[in-house]
Parts: sequence; C-alpha cells; structure tokens
Amino acid sequence: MKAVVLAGGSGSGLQAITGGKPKVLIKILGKPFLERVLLNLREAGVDKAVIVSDRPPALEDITYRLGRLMEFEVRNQVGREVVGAIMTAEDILAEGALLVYGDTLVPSEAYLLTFSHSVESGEPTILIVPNEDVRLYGAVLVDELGNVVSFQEKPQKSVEGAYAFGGIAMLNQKLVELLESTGSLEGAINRYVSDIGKVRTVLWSGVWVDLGYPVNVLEAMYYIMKDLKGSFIESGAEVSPKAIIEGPVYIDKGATIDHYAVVRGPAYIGRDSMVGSHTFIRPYTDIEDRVTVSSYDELVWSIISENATIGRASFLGYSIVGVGAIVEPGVITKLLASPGEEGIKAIKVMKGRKLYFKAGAVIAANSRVPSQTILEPGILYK
Amino acid sequence: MACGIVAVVASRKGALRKPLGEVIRESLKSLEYRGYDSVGFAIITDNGLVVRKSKGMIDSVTAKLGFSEFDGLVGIGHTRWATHGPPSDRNSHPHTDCTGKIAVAHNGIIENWNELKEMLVRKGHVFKSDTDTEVIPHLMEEFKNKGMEPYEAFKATISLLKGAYAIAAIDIDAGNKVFFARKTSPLIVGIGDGANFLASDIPAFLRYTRKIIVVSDDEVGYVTSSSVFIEKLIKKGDKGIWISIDIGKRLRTVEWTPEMAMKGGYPHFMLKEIHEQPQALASTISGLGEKLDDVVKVISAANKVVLVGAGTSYHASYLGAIFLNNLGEVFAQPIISSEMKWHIKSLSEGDVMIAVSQSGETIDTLLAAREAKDRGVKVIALSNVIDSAIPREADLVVYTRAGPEIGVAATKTFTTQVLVLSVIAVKVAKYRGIVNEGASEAHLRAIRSLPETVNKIISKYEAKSKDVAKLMASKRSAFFLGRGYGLPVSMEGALKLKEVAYVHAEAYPAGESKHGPIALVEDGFPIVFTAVSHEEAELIKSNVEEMRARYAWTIAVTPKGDEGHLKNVEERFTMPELPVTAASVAYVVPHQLIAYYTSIIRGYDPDKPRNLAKTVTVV
Repeated sequence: MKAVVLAGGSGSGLQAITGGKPKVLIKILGKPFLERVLLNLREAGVDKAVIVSDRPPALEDITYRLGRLMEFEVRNQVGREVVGAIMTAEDILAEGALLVYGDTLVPSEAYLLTFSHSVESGEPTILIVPNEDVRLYGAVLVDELGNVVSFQEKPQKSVEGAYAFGGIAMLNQKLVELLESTGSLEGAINRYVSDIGKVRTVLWSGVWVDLGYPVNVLEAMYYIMKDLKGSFIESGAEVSPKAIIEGPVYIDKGATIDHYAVVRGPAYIGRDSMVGSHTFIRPYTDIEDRVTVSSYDELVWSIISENATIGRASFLGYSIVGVGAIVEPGVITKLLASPGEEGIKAIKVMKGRKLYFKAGAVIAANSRVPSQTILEPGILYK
Repeated sequence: MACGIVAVVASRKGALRKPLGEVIRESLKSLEYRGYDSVGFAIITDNGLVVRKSKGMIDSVTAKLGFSEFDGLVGIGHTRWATHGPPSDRNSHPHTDCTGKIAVAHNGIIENWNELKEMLVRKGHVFKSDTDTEVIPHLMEEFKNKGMEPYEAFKATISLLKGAYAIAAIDIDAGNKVFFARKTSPLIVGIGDGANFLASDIPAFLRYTRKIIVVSDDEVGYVTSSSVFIEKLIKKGDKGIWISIDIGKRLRTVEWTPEMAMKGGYPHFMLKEIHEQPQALASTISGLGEKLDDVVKVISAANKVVLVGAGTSYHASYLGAIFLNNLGEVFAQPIISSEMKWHIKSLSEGDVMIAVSQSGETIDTLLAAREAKDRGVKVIALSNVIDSAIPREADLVVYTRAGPEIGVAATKTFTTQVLVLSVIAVKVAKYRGIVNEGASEAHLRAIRSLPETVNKIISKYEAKSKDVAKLMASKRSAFFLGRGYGLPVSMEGALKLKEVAYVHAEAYPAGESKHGPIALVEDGFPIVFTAVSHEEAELIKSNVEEMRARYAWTIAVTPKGDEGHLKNVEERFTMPELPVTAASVAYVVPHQLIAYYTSIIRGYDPDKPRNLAKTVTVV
C-alpha cells in the first residue's frame, strides 16, 4: 500500500510553538507528530510514503530515522493550499494511494479501514468522524447507505446532520482529474457525486485528533500518554531516592529528578531534562528534551518543548511552552475559561455535574515571560 | 443486507481438496452476514448441469440438498435476501433457461424485466419463477438460438439490461468458464492457485486466496481456472467499442481480515448495525404481508395476551404489551421468558402468546412457547431468522427483516421488533373499532416514515452522543427513568450501556424513583430521562427536578417542544414529535449511540461484550 502524506500547513498559533518549523514537527513524548503518523501508516501496511511539504529539508531527520521501515519520497509542494499539495502527488493518488493529512492522528486501523473499504467497493472513499464543530474540518452529508451527498470544505456555520471530514481518503483517477479542473476538494467531490458515481464513507469512531489549535496538541498528548503501560527509567537517568514517582512515567536517557520532586503519571520526562527539588509534576505532563524545570514548580496537562526553562515557583496548566522559551520565576497561568468565550478552545473537565473549560497559555518559542506574570486563559504569549 | 453470489472455476477435480459443492457451501456461509432466506447452487457435473435450491438457512438447506456431494469444475452459488415478497423454493437462485444448459445467479434489480419477459414469453420461453433474474438465462438462450457463441450471447444479454446487478452465469456449451457482469452491485474476482473465484464480497474466498481484482461498473468478462478477462463498452459517437482492461494494474493483495471486510466501512458491527436501522426498518415494513391480518384477528379475539422474550426482546415485548393495552385495549402482559414457568398456569385456550426472539432459538422463549401450545394457547412467533425453531413450532409467524445481526448487543433487531409490534397494535385497534381510519393512518404514516426519521436522528445526534459518552465514560453507575412507553425504552438504554460499556445502569419507572433509587443519587450521578410524548414529559418534570435538587447530572431524550418544561437538564436530545408508536422506535437511537461511544471511550470492544453470547440456547 502507498500513501501520500500532506505535511504542510501551519495552524493558528501552532507555528509559534515550533519556532517556524511545520506544525507536524511538534514533538510529543519525544517524537515529532509526523513520525507517529508515519509509524501508524507503517502498521497499517503502507510501505511507501510520498510526503508533500513546503519545506522538505525539515523532514530529513524523520525520513532518515524511519528509512529502514519504509520507502520515502519527499516532494516540494507545487501549488497552494490543500489542493496544491494534493496535486503535487496526483500521479501516485490516481494509482490508488491513500491520501493522508499529516496533521491528523488516528490509529492504524482507520487507515486500513478506509483503504480496504475503497478497494472492496471499487469507489473512492473518505473517512468521516462525528464532530460537532464541522466548520473546522469540512462538513460531509451522508445518505443512509453511507454515500456522500455533499461536501463543504469550509462551511460558514455548523451544518445539521453533517459529519466532519477526517483527513483520510482514497481517490481515483477521475476524482484527481476533477480536482485539477475544479480547483478544490469540495468541487471535485461534489462534481463526482453529481455526475460520475458514488463516493463512499468510512465512519471512524475511535481516537481522532486534528492539529488545528494548541488544545489539539494537548489532546494528542493525552491519547498518546494514555497508552503508557508502565513506568520506565532509561539508563543514564538519575532519579533521587527521595523523589516520588507514581503511575506510568517514562524517564528518558540522562534526565534528572531531584530530591523531593513528585512525578504523578502519566508523564514523560525527556532526555537530559531536569526536574528540580519539590516540583510537582501532575498527570499528562510532557517535558521534552533538555528542559529545565526549577524547584517548587507545579505543572499539569502541559507540554514543555525542547530547551525551555521554567523558573522557580511557577504554575502552568493546560499550556504549551514553545521551543527554547524562558518562563521566569513565579509565572502563573489561570485556567478556567467560560464556555462561550470567543476563540478559546478548551479541554472539558467534569467535576460532579459541572463542566469546567480549562485552557492555559501558549508561550511562543524563544520568548521570555517576565517574573510574576499572570497569564489569562487561552492567551498566546509572544 | 443484500444477496450474495459466488462462483468457482477449478483446473481439475480436487484442485481445492474438496468437492466443488462443498467449496460453494463454505463460500456462501462466509457471505451469510449479507442476509439469507434462501440458498442455491448450480454445478456442471459429469452428468450435466445440476441445480439445487431452497428457502431456509444456509446450514439446513445445504445439508438437505447435499451440496457437498456434487463435484465438477465450474459452479455458481447464491444466497438470497428477499426484499420484496416472501422467500420460496422456486424464486431461489440460480435460475436456468429452457434447455437447462445455462444457470445464472444475480444480485440486484433488473428494472426492465417485465418487458423483457413479455418479449421472451411471446417467443415461446417458459418461465419457472416470478423473479427478474430469470430473464437473463432465457435471453442468453435466445441469442444463442440466433447463432451467437455463448460469451457473445451473454454480452448481448447484458446490453439489454437496465438496473443494478452483479451477475455470474455458466453455460454447458461454454465449457469451464464463468461469465460475469457488474453494474452498481459489488463483484470481486479472486485469483487462486488452480482455481479462480468470483463473489459479492472478499470473505467468500479469503480462505483460498488473498489476490483480488475488483470489477468496476459496466464491465463484463469471464474467468477460467487460469485466466481472467474483463472488458468494457466505450461509447464512440453512436457506436460502442469494447476495450479490454489491463488486469495487471487492478490486481491487489488483501492485507486485512475477513472480519474487517464484513464490517463494510465501520469499525464495529454494532455501529454498522445502528446505521443499518433505516434499511432494516424499511425492509421490515415492506415484508409485512397479508399474514399480519391473521395475527390481528387472533389477537383481537384473545381473552388475554402474553408477550414473552429475553433481554432486548423482553423490552420489545414490554412495549408491545403497552401498545396492545393502551391502543388496542386488549389485556396484554410482558413476561420474561425464563419466568414464564410461574405464570403459565393462568393461560388456557382462547389466550395468545407472542414469543419474541431475534434468533428464533432462545431456549427459554422456546420452552415457554411449547408449554403454552400444550395448554391450547395460540402462539405467534416474532423472529428475525426464517424457519428457526420458534417460528417452526408457532401457529403464526411474523418476521422482522433486519438482516443478520452480528454485534452481540441487539440494535436493529430491537427497533424492527418494536415496529412490528406497533403495527400489530394499531391494526388491532382499528380492527376492534377503537380507533378510526384517520387515527390509525396517522400512526402508520409515522411508522412508514421511520427509516427517514431514524436516519435523521442518527446523523443529527451522533456527535452529541459521542460528547455525552466522553462524560459518561468516567461514571460507575447510571439510572434510566421514564414513564409509560418511555420506561421500556429506558430499560433498553440501560441494558445497552451495561452490556457494552460496563457501566452499571438501572432502569426504573420515574414515578417509583423516589421509592428507593433516589437514595443513591449524589453530585454528578448520571440520570437519563426518556419521554416519548408531551404527556410523559409533563409527568417526569417533577422527577427531573427532584434529581437535579440532588445534583444529579441529567440527560433528557424528549420530544420537540418540551425544552421549556425540562429547561434545566444538563444534556438534551430533542427528538421529532411523533405518535407514541413511531416514537418508541425512534427514541431508543440516542441510547444506542451513547452506549456505543461510551464503550469505545472506555476502551472496550462493543461487539464482544464479556460473558455474553449472541444467542442463548442453554437454560
């Protein structure tokens, strides 16, 4: 099986985290997002991937690392937007390769399901997911037999009864030709449905995360961490006998956990990183490589990217700290957002019967947050 | 739900290490999930073309007809799922021509069969069935009579057909070849070692080969034991030319399991079957024939009626009893099959038992039906499986036509059971003069629209159900409360959540909830309220408030227009306003979706709940 992986795109607020690299290179538990997508494709039986990117050299690391598992071809994106990216690999897609959005995380089964259903039905097939916010992903209306009725790539408002497009598809020669003539995926699918034949759907009910917003990165981290089965301390890591490690925690090579630090998993402490004395790492915290977390800090459900520093006595929750950023001592994130607040994408947490919407801060790569700053929920700090 | 066709061509006898009839039987068995109510095969044997076919389940028919005793090099097989009209021996496939040389298996609908048949009858062809399919062998015969070679005759035949089809045809005069054609209905070629295959779906031949070619629309061709030929008619001006297809490019290797192939684009059977409900309901409605009139008369004349069932079928029975009591004004009571023993003595001649069992084999229900029959009670079976044990022993039978249900948790069989029972009750009410034509028509109209209604509910509420499930997934226990029709719907909702998501769930009459259950309610305790009508919604209003006062997390499945009444609930599924009959079918859908997604989010496999079997045949 072959796949075409679209690895371009920046995502709102996401490039701030990576310092300008493509958003698919955001690291979660020590691996770039795209690498996880490719590994899942491999598991589904994909042996050749054509990756389309606007910055191919940025992907060399990954293709080098996975080169023994599968064959790669990295193409420089020719046109603009999704259509441009798709057209860059039209020859492969027309042969029956799986089209995969590289910023969407699904288990391998979702790929296999789309591929197998398309082969069996002999029709082009797209993956759809139940999602209330179809505006972000594209709205697909489906008939009672699972055939596409219509597709709207960027609906202005929510569409009743529509499913979200899941970023995985099997096209065919005709559909690729229509892409070229209509200039959009929406146009091509709708024209195909009205003039040529059926477009089938696969309804995916499992894990599905699309990296649209920072909160999606935190979601992806949550699902990946949920799969941690036990604790593991790599050789060369130093864990103080006075530190408390609880639940599944992965401590990578060369990491240091200082006296009286408490790490309550699931959590990940990256290579050569340091967790200071009396710091409290709460569940779903991902500390990447070469990060310094000083003493008396508290972190919960957050990603601290490579080379970042968290100063003493800070509290960060539901937040992402970009590569190389410095958070000076005493910085506090406020977490509770109201559900209606415009533009804030939050994680829902239920306590008793009440729903709370939690959103922390996104701190841009290489920025410096001054001491004692109080960061409001959902803020992007540059 | 659809018919299934298979075909095999072997290079020599024994190439597949078993008689051809046995290979066809196995292949048909692997297509059983597509539906079955009759089965047949045709094999070219040393003694000519042999055709055997009958209505019934694959296992019993193939044993009865001795499939595995027949051997040859070429054969076709068919499982039929009758969408219109009853299944019967003579309408079973394959169908043959007048000479008995040609046999055809077909999946789909030939739209212009009537005019073709008239033309053929005028030319002296004798038809043996009422099917659209039979025109195909006769047309082939007709073209052969005009001097065409068998394959040319087949192509000429296909060019006359309008509609949807996947066709496999064999002809003694063509030797070891199977002709095929596809339009709309699926058809796949399997390339094996010493034999090639043709089938509606991959599982049919997966035990012999993983190499496949998918036939596309408007293509025709033939397979031999060592080759495949496919061609397609391309229109050039007003002339058509045949272009052969490069099959090398089409060849694929299947890397997935037969189970995945059977799920038809869904990750689980349960989700597939939830989504199949519109079709299952439509098929059930169209399958309710005149036999229902006898059922209606028998029930209308009964002294009392009991409905017995186990599990989900008991919940359908419960609804059936309320329908009969409330609409038909007939005394009816639902009883759990395994408890019937303690109630049976009250039944005698003049009473009626409706035995509800999806499989028709549920042992407790079967035993209850037997005991009732012994006492002179008339037994009506309601089952989804043609000629299964309970229908065979019953006085009258009504079938749901939900198609095979593979997920252990019943979904489409429940909604189709409830649909049938609601139609019966409405007809009883009409027959007994309790409702007039207008009122009964209002119910039936809404029931006939259920396929569309249910489809809309699924697509409108799937995402919301998933969101609610995300919260439900962290709960250990839940109540499902309702009154009247809303109670059995709640019981079914609780059963689904319990059996696939392993969340302890208990259904209770809402009015009884303060006599005990309320003691367990604390902050965040989930309570799902169901009301199928405004009347029921009005009645549960105070129950909702009681529970909310104890900080319960409340979810309401209620008709449109009750938003004001129950304005404080945390989650609301606003359902279309429907008569109680149709509403009792439609309102269970959000419950099914919530249970399914809760199971997924908790990381379970909803198709294989622990400790449960699909059909319980031991006491």
